[in-house]
Amino acid sequence: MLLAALMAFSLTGCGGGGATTAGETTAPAGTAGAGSTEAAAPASSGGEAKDSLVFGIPQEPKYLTAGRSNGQIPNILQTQLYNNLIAINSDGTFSPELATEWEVSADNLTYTFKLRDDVVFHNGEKMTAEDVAFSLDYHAGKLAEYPGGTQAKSFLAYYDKTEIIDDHTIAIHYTDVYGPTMSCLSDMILGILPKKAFEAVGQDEFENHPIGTGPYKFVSKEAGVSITLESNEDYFGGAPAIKNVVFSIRDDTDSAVIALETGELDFLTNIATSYKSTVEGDSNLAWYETDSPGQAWVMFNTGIGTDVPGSKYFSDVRLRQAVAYAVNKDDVVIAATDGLGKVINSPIPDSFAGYSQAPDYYTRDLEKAKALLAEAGYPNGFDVQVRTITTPTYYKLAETLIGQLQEIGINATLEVLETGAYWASVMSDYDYDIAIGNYTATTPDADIPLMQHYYTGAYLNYTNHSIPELDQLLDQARGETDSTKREELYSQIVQIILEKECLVVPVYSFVVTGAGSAALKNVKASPYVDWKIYEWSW
Amino acid sequence: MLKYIGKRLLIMIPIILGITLIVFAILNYTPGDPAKLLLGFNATEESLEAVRAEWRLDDPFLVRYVRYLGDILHGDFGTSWRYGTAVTQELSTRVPNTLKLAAMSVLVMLILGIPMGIISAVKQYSILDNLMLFIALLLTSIPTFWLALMMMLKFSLELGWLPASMPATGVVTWKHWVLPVFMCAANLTASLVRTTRSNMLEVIRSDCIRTARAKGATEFRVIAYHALRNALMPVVTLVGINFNVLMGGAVITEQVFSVSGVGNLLITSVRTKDAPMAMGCIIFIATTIGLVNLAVDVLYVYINPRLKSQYVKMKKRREAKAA
Amino acid sequence: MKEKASKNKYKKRSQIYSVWLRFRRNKMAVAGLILLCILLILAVCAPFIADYEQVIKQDLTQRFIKPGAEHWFGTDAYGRDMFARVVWGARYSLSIGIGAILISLTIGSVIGSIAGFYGGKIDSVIMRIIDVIMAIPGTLMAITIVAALGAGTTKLLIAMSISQIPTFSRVVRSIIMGIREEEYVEAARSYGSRDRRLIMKQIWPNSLGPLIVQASLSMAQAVLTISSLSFIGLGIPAPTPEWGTILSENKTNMRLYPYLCTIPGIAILLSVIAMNLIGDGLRDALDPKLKN
Repeated sequence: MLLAALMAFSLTGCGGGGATTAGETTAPAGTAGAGSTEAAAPASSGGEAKDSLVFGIPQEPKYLTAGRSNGQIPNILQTQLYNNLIAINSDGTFSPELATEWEVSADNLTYTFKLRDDVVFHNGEKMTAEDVAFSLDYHAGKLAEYPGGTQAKSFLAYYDKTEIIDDHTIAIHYTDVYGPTMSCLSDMILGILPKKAFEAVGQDEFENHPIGTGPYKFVSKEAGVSITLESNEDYFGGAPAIKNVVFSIRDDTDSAVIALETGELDFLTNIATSYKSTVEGDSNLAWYETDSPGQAWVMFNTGIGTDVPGSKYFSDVRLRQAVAYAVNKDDVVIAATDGLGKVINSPIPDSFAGYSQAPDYYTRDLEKAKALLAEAGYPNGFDVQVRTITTPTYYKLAETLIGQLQEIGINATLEVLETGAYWASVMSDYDYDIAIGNYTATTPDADIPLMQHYYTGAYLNYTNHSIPELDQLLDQARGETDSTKREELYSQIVQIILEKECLVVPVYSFVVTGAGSAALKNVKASPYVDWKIYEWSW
Repeated sequence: MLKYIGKRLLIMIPIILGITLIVFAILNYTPGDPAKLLLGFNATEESLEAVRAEWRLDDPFLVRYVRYLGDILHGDFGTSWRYGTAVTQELSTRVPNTLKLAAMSVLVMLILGIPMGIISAVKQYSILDNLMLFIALLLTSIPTFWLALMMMLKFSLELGWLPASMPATGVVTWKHWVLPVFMCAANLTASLVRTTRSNMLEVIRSDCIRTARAKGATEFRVIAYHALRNALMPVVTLVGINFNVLMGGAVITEQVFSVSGVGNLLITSVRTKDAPMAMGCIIFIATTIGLVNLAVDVLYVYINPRLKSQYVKMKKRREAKAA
Repeated sequence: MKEKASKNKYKKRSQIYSVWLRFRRNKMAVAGLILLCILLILAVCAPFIADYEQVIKQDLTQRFIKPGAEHWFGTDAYGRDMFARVVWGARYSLSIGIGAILISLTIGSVIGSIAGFYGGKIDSVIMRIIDVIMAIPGTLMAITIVAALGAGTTKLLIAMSISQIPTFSRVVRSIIMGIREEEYVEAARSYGSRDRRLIMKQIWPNSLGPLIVQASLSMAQAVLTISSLSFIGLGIPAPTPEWGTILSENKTNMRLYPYLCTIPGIAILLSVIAMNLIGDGLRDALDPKLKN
């Protein structure tokens, strides 16, 4: 079965984490018509040629090595530094990146890729099948020195081993059929690393001087302040127009916006939606936004079937349901995204394979909520702390939620933790009652968000549960190749997660935002926040 | 004098040791697993164990503390749990900014505070005096982070005169420092105005000034030469005593204006539970405060030789009394 | 001895009265006192002025209403009434400030009087510990303690109290050192008066004045520190309407709706001014040398 496509190379088609179409982006008010041919043009007409860019990011990515950090901000850096074998298109098809063509075996267990032979790493060494094999082994945790693998591990489900056929041909073997294999391989988290350079210095030292094949090279990093990149003149997709990029870490959004207005920053990603009118009112600036598969939900420490006991309150499904009935999703969308986000009823983003519309199992009903509270033995409510971190997508939902819980008599207050402590409490310690969950899946398949959060012992099993029936259905769905049957299985799964067990209350999906100088050309918002700076020009 | 400085430096050592103990103890009880911090949450139990063994994190508190002290004596402040780099390396890029901020704030404080205090005292009860006192009152009472927000709105955004934060690249000009330095110096300038004023008032009424006036010296000479010299002595100590408050304020200032200094690093480290880094920052800040206090005291004795003889006299008197 | 004690008491009362007379003549100080009283009354009466429910009740249809007849101070991004929040904010900000000072004043004076009264080894041990704590700026100390304990009202109170203890210990110690040698204390001692009684009866009344001055000035500082900690996210979490928290919550919307930040800022400013004015007034009133 030949899935491969020998596509004509175009500057925008190869490289990065997948091209997006204009349909997904709202045209910014200030930008000139963005024709992709302009990208190749040297510098903007008029005035001095500017070839540097200061890019504001709200947090510092913990790691720059491909795969070690997962999240919106690490994704931005990984997009610039690394490449994948393939890229995914918005219609779900794939286009070449480091690989030019590929073949899938009849049993769906072996994927063979033919690699480009003109790709060099930033240190000048040629990329070969050895590097791909090493990178996949490293991500999957198959290397003896790094048994934990990277965060990309969960994108390599059933990964067995690679087989180097020749310098530019590699076969990847899987132990079981996995529907979204191709999508996973195109996820920007699975970047290809240089075997020699990595092994020579080891993981910790490599982190200080990361090397990839991407359009930008790492230059230097000042902890908590900035990360400097320069263009990779030997990039196989052509040298980028913007030569120097500085990622300036701006943990204070408000002063970052001022810096954008005064021209200290050329671009700012993840800008708060409340600044939309400010940016649009400034003729020097352009606003970019697009729907994101990123979701925010309310989650409970359930303790279903696990060793660690759940919350004193929310081990009781009736209390979880009471909260679900109390949540006013429309209000959250207004408060958290100034109305730009969307209300969601399913833990699967609607643009993902496997999604089918789910009913709102708990339409807001305060009477039902109060009745459930009384039934569970708390007619007068109780005191509880909602755990959150300061990141707006968490915090604003948490703050709106406590107001809504108040209305059914639950006296909720916020408990704001630092990120480290927060992840410990929802991922390993399970000492919380109710908290906020967030996830932006970068592979458009239902399997990724669901397996990561709801499978027994899953890495992001925030809700502290183990439900065999759910595990079995998840296993079945990921191996199902028929899309109708798959959707059916996933709607059963969603019903268990939401209606039967009420593990989480999905609330809203957020938007990807960015704002930059109106003089920047070819800027496009993409659902995965992978701003492709190499396509931009002044 | 050298003996005095040496003695003071010796006194500083137990104080710094005490600080390390207190802060080490507090950070020790901060929730969060350093091994997980280093490896992330998908780390396997074996690799976590390996890190714990490598860093000897399972040793009892005191063992780890003593080991930490030993490392410090060798100039090793440990490795950041968050960045995996040496604490000293990270600190070395931050220290200049913090020192600049502190030095400029002290300078601004002196340049603004002393003249304001003098004017206030010389023209006591005048409108000018009341105005100065009012400004001083406002500056001591204003929440500086709020003042910073308001100034950012006015000077950066509305008027476009000053940048709102430090640049990510390129040259840092004096313009970048105006708002942070003002925020950092505001509270203490006010206390300087008040101290200068009250000291001046006291000195102006003292006998030596009366004598100078009687001798027919010009008013300017009286103020500038006789009064000022005597009134400024306590001001010097005030700067020393308040340097500690200034450093505390610098931490918040760096945070508000994203200055890449030790204070900013400290808050990030505290938030991310990066204990070795936080320790390094606090030791640096405490040492700086100690050294500045010492410098101020030395300066004080130096510019005021009378003090030295007084000290001797007092000692003799005490001895006599004891006898 | 009894006679002497009652004579002392009489002397103290008249002294306090004369301080009050001097304080009363200082218009600014009286203004500060009145201002603080108003703020305290607001803080105490907050539940009668606005229901706590109003403080946290959200109404997303009523966002960003400018100050007017219905909402005196407008509404915030969650449609909450800012007037109710600022008034309740007085309750939180002031009570934590005052609470922290009362706690550190009590503990600090006990430590200080032990050090000052017994002197010798006890004194030097205590003073060295205090030197160490004072070598760390109070703000840093509070930040470190908050990091260990986590954010929250009680935890912030503890952090603030600990960081203020040394100041009070020092004040009390130096006062005691000063009057220890004075005749009436030595006399009482020679009569065999027990130490504790001596501290309570003789020394305490003398240190009260300077302590109150220090307390009101420290309180002003404490209110500032608490709000700045909350502002940088290390203090009291929302929805509790502490003033610094309100400022930090509304910072993002400050540019389009400036009243959201000016009003709580002015609230902090006024209360700190009031405390400083009272402190200054008291100091002048207690120190006749500065009276001219």
